[in-house]
Amino acid sequence: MKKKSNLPLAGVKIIEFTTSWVGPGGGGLLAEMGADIIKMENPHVPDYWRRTVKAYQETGSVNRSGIFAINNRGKRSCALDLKLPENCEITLRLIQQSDVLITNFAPRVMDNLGMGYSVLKELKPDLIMIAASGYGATGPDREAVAFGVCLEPYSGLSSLIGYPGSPPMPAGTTLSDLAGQVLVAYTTLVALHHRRVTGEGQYIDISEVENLITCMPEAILEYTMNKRVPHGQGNRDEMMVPHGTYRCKGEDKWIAISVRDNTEWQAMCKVMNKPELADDDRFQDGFVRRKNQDELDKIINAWTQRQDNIDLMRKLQKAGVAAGPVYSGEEIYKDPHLNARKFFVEHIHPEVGAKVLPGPYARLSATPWKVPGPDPLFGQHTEEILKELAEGKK
Amino acid sequence: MGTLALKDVRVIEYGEKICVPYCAKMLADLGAEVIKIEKPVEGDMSRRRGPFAEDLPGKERSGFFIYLNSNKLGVTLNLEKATGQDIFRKLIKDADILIEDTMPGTMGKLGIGYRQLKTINHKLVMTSVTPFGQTGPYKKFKGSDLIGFEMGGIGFCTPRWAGTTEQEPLRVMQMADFFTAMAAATAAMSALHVQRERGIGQHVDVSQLQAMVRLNPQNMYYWPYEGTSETRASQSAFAPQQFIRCKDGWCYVHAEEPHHWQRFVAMMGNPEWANIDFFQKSTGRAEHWDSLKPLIEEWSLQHTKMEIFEMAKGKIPIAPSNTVDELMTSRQLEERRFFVEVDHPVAGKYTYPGAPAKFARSEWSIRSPAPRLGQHNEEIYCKRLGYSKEELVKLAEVGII
Repeated sequence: MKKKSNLPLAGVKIIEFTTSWVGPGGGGLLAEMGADIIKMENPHVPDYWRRTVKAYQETGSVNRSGIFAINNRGKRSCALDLKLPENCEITLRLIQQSDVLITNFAPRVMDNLGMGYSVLKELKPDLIMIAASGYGATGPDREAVAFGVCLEPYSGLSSLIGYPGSPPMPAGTTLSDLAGQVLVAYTTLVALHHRRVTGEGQYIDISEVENLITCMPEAILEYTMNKRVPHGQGNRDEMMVPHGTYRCKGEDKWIAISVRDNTEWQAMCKVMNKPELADDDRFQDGFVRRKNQDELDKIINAWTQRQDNIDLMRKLQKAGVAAGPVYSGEEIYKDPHLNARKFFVEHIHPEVGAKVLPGPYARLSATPWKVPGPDPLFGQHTEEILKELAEGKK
Repeated sequence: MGTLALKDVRVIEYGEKICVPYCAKMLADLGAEVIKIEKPVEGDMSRRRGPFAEDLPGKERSGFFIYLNSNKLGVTLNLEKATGQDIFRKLIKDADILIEDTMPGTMGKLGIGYRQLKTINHKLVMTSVTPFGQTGPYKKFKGSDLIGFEMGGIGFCTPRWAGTTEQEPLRVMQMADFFTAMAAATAAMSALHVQRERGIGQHVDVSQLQAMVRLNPQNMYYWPYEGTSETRASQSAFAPQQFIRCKDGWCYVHAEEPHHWQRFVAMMGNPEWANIDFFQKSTGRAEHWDSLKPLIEEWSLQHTKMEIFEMAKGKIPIAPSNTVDELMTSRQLEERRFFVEVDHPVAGKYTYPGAPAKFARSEWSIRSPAPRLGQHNEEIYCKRLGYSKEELVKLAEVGII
């Protein structure tokens, strides 16, 4: 069917029972590594992200979603109604031919389909099954309805986002899913390694809440070590001052600046053309700068708001100070560095045409990851997959 | 207990703060042997970052450092000196993976870049984790967690649905660094897969900026597909998907879909106002959120967040906004034995976050706490590389270890 591939996961077969982000996103990363992925879809309920975009509201088509595209490029879509026993039988045969099964449905869903891990491992003892859910497959809250956005508040993260004194706030994207999708890909690779060494498959239970908490140790330890309950502190940092986003010239333009030490601070004062600030009693070392942050931020804002944020990044970086513009989605696509690295990749989609989207985040020198083509139309490969199965093709 | 899945994997870590140490921790907690190289005397800068046990700063008292460096062997080594580079090459000889975060070009100048190292060990997977990657106009620019989060596009939309751009874009804890670490571990594992299947090593270039952008479809699809960008001023077109006040704090309610909204109305006891015309549709509720919110809160303020969560369980996506102390008494986390206790010889015994995933067959465990600075110098340099104790003393005197 395809020429011999140099991709890292060439030959690895994955079957997905997924929707929206954490499952499809994990599979999407593994697809860039070269895994052959069949995405099972319910003919009556297309992937949630096929439906949550303007194009769907306007045209009724489930094939025009950009948010779906990023997660599902290069997969084959197989739409089968699993209420029909013959389709279940087909599906079980597809699972039997797979190395890995990824699901992010609520824990009970696969069980109800008769495709729980205990059943599947009889069918294929070395199957790797990755089950990602909001709260995990066990425990009293396992059945709570877990939309990604619920998991930041539950994990405590929302209470740590915000301006001093503000109520809990949502992050700019659903961080539990963002992190969870990486863990889906990571645990798949670990389980493949485990299988190579021992011959064993296994079930992996991912709680997105728990994964998120593993990324906030400083908040947890603030409490377990010193019994303080932390809350949102804006962009302030315990060690770096100044540290924040500062207003620049133009509508909603900002620059992020992180100053690590006194050398960088002195360099920044020079760029500001205010060398006297470096000797100012209020700002001369990290300790006093932290004490006088409000005043310091006012001075910096007064300076940055007359400047272009891109020029400012260049000036500060040239002087050895970590700085970068706060980018909108549009600005990211136009960034010269990302374009010089040919980060964005075009694919041609049968319904929406040519689209440019982010490519792999990692560059492997010998076996590069690559964007495996457009996202599938809904049920596009059902026939092809059934035919392969009938022909006994592996 | 199962098998330590990565027990046959040898890793050398040379990096500070979060990206490289957390990446290596993910491998170490599943059994990989990780030798962490720190600069002599000062060590990893996160040793100086709190929280500290009993609020007493000290190199061996940072909970943050102890968390990020569990299960590792710790050595000190000065890679800027020729003898240090020689020792480094000896360590690399039989390593599977090197994870490092130096500015592009630095390792090459020291004679230990990928090109030089692959002549010693052609199976080496060198994973370089940097703010902007190994090539391109910003390759020598400095980064930080904040800059990764803000340039990567999430910050511009944080806090989400603020309705205004008056206040500055925010970061979220140090998430950009943690996500980059996870992305790097995943990339390293994909190259390890190739090494084991085909016997070849390679250089893996992980860019924090690219990771943040690639992993965020929610903000990145708008421009190519709709010609717009999300901002903090963007409002959700649907409601409710907001925080509401309760008796003891806040709940997040995501009840915009018709069946969820109907169940939510029933849960509130079918108040009369729920029949008002413009509250019937999700879009209408979003448009009139300012008048709807106080009506919902008349009800929610009579209940605690856990009462509301329990009522909604299995029916409506609603979650309590927990504070950190509340996590410690969560029945869910307790029953799943998520948190773990780690006893450190200097800092003492405290509760830390545990495994990111439950593996049925692969063991995840904290087998040893983070190393004290240079704790395993003798074990690695004498027992493994054959230096004598006298030589070790000399190496320390001249600042090599």
